[in-house]
Amino acid sequence: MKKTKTALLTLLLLSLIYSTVFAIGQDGIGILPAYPREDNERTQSIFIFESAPGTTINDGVVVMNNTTDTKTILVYATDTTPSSDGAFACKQLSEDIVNEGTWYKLEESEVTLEPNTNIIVPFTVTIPEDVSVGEHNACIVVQEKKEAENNAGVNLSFRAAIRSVVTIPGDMLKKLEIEDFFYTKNEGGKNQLTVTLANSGNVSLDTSIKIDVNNLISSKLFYSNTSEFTILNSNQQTFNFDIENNPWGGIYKAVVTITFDGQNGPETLTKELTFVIVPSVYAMALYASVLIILITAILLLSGSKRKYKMAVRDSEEYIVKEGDTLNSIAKDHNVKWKLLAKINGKKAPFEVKVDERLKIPMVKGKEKTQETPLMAENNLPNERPVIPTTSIPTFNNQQPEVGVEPVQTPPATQPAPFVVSEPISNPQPIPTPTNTPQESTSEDIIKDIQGDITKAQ
Amino acid sequence: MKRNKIIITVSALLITFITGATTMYFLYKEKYGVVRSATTALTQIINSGTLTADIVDAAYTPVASPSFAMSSKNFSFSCQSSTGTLGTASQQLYVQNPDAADSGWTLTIAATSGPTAYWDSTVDYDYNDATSSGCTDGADADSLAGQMTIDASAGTLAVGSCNSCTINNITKGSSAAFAETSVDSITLLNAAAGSDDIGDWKLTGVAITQTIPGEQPAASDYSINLTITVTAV
Repeated sequence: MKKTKTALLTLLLLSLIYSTVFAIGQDGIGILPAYPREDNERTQSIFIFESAPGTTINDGVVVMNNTTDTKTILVYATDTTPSSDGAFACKQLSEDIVNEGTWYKLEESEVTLEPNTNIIVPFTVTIPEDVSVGEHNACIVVQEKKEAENNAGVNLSFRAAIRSVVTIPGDMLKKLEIEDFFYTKNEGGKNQLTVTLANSGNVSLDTSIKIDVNNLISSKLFYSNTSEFTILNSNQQTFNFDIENNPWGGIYKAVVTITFDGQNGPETLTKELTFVIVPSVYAMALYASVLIILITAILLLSGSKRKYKMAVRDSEEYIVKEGDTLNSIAKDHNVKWKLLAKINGKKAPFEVKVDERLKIPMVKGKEKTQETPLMAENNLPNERPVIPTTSIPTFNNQQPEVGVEPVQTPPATQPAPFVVSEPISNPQPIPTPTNTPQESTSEDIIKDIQGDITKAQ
Repeated sequence: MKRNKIIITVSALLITFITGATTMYFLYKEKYGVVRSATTALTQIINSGTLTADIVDAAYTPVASPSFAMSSKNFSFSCQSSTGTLGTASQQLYVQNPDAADSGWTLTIAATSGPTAYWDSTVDYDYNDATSSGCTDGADADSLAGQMTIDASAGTLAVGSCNSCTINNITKGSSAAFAETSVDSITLLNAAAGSDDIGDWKLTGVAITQTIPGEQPAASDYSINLTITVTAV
């Protein structure tokens, strides 16, 4: 029997665990208008009165304790105080009431409420005789009555309040301006657009604030937001809008459009702003890499063009003999056949003809040519068989890449500065430069030639 | 023995049936709102919610005596700053609007004792003296130096436990320093009329900086009371 009881108990416990668990939300202490008007939905959240100077209004506030404990709650009216950014705020209980807060008289200053109960606290609003036309704001506040904490550091208390506005009939002035509109990257690293609006009228204005941000390069909409705020009378209010970050950065144009019900109907104000989102460090590193690659490519390209121009400028003339091919000529002169073809305007199949005059680019560091134009003109002997027309050269793509730099020589029309008295039967191979190729100038070549002449003498 | 087995089996079946039926009931009710019954009239009362602000932990349980410490500093002959953070993962600044403020609301912070408050210890210092950014005593009512700056814009606003809510139409306050008579309250959040009428939000990472005047005596019990107010506007 004992075993049976144990088993049943276990089953019961298991079934409790199995059962669905329903969470119960924790609420706090709060207030609501006791008698909202059907003709104005806003009166469900705040007090809105319209009355002439010298009159008295009767109303009530619901004080609620939606906690699970019995609470003693302070309920009081107080003046407003402009918070930073111009937001609506209420003065503290400890502060003297000197403005509209003095108009309010509540029947209770504190109430003790059981858990999940509420009570209506009646109050009157007595409007002075000498009050100005327009809106007059005050606060009705509730907060738990408790001793102040004195722990080291910042001790926090909480309270809830509702705005109470009394409108004195008369000439309503509705005037709104965009005071400021700017972009910042705040301390948290967030991109932010800030709008400051100034209401210099005597009534609060329900205002639509629309912000559109477009990427100026791609013209794409980057951010858009529309919010509706109430701008209090005789007040400046600032609104910060976090815009999403773009790690790649960019240039953007932001437009703020303000719409409100003005003095003569709907009014619209706009202001534009251009700003730059700085790219992230990684994006900047990538941009720098791409830039370096681009610059290098441009330099290489311009260098190649310069070489070509120099090759054309500093060329010697060669008359094609029988048996020559473009490739053999290039090899003999230690230049790339492609360069040779290019400066002579040769295209596939790269044929050369006997007696055709070719420009031969001078090669940097090249020893005195084995075959000068003069030699060619004098029909100096060559080992190659002479055939009437050269065939398509067999191009070897693995030709040496060195010694392509052209060198400057005297013009081909002028006689060579030296004469080779004996025919060259075996042209010496042009030595491959071992040092890093450097560009030769005309002066260098002349010096080299003069040096050779001296040696010959 | 056989009898016991029968009892256990029958009990198990009964409990399973009851549990299942109860679960079905709640699921049906959650889906359709009511449970039709020929003989039983069920009632459900949901009390009006209130616009509230509080400090809650990660499970949204209110923290009993919320407070936070500023970074400790050594004695210095020069003016220096300590920093703190309002709203952490375990102490989130929490706002709940259960359809109580349809036209928007503000969340602001101010000294409980008003503009005349100060950091209290054997030798006090100020929280709202703007002279030399709080480094020297200025023309305010007291003879204390020191200034506190609060930057909500550096914080992170997120939706709380509400699945269908957004942070749209809620803006964070700019960085601002308390200055006697001109800035007695600092804005943390400003919710527009278009913000969710029913929703909850949590704010963390609000940066706080306190300027401590030079030659301020060493003490471990400097304290100040601040009040956070949520106001339906």
